[in-house]
Amino acid sequence: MEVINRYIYAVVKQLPQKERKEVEKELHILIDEMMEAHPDITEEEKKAKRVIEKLGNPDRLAEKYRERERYLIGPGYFNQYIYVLKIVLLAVFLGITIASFFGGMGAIGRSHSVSTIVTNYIGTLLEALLQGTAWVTVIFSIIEYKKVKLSKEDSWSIKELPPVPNKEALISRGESIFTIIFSAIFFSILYFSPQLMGIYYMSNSTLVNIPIFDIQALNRYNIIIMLIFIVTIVQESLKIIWGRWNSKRAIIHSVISIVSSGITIMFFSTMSIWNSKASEALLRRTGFEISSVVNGIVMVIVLVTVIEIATTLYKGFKYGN
Amino acid sequence: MEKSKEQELLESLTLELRRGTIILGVLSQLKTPQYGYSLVVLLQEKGMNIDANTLYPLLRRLEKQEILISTWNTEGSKPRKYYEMSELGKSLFIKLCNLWIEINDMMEKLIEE
Repeated sequence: MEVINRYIYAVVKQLPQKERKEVEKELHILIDEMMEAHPDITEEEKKAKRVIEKLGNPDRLAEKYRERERYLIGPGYFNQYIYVLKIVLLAVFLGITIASFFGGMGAIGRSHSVSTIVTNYIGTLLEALLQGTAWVTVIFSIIEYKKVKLSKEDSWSIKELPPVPNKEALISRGESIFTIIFSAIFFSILYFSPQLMGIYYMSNSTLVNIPIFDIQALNRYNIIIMLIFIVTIVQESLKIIWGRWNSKRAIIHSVISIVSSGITIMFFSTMSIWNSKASEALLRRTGFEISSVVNGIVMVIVLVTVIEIATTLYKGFKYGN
Repeated sequence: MEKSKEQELLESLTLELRRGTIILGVLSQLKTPQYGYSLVVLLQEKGMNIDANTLYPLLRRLEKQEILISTWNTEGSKPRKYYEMSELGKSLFIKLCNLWIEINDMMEKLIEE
């Protein structure tokens, strides 16, 4: 009967190919048996409908016939999936950020557009993050489907229990990510289009720019710029991976900070990198000598570094262990 | 008609309780061959209200686990699939029955306190 065929098909189409024929045969017979048990209703059509109603939603029935749960990534593998996903996303984020600095942004940089640099970076980053997520998800779905054995069944030991984290010792991940993004953008501009950084003013209704850096002199220090950038990235990445401070990490971080701040201070103090035209303009309009401005910058860097080191060491020693 | 919270909870807890008894109940009637719907009726007569849409997939699963064996009866106008316990099934059944008595005793003690 038509309605019976439709019902059985609705159930069976949800089952794997191998099971379909048998279950179809079985259901035909079972429905017939149930029909026989209703001698009270004479109309065949009506009888069939009553029986089918008793069997209920074909989706639920198919569920019961199915051998395995329908999970894309089931509870058994989900934790590992999330763990791997976090690592992959972090790696992709760092990779794209660094690659954009050295590669693609260079080309765009020459067209002088800061917004292009930024939008390009964000676009590439988004695309790469999505790709990474897709691949990890696909691989884990396959693992789920094949029910691959991943780790030893449920083994744990008391020794491996990590200490309860003290909120004060936590490292802000958002801060580190922000620092990485900001550094990538800043250093790209500095490396590829330093002429953008300058004093802008209107002269005869046109926008004039006096770059604060002597471009040719600056280019000689490109390696230093790259070095500072890499050290910054490494520092922030370490912070993200660590998650929380302890005394050892605080010391490592402080040493790196001292080194990188030292290099930065030496860099800024090299008078040749500053554009003499800009210094003249500065002197003319504000009365400040370029050397005093540089001293000011140096003092700010020293101050910020000292505060940061002190805070980190304090957190690492007091709350970390 | 809205179910009260207690009613809802009672329904779901009853379902859980009953679920534990289904397989033992089904096996108990399969010492001799039975076919699909007749088993439903038989269990209902004895007080176990199991739906056809639960029983049929269950029988199939038990057969795959080799707890039941099936034979086709082609006499008569319609072919019928008969199920009964295999030797493995019968052995498991006896052990489960003993276990059931143990559990029953334990529960009675717990409830009476």
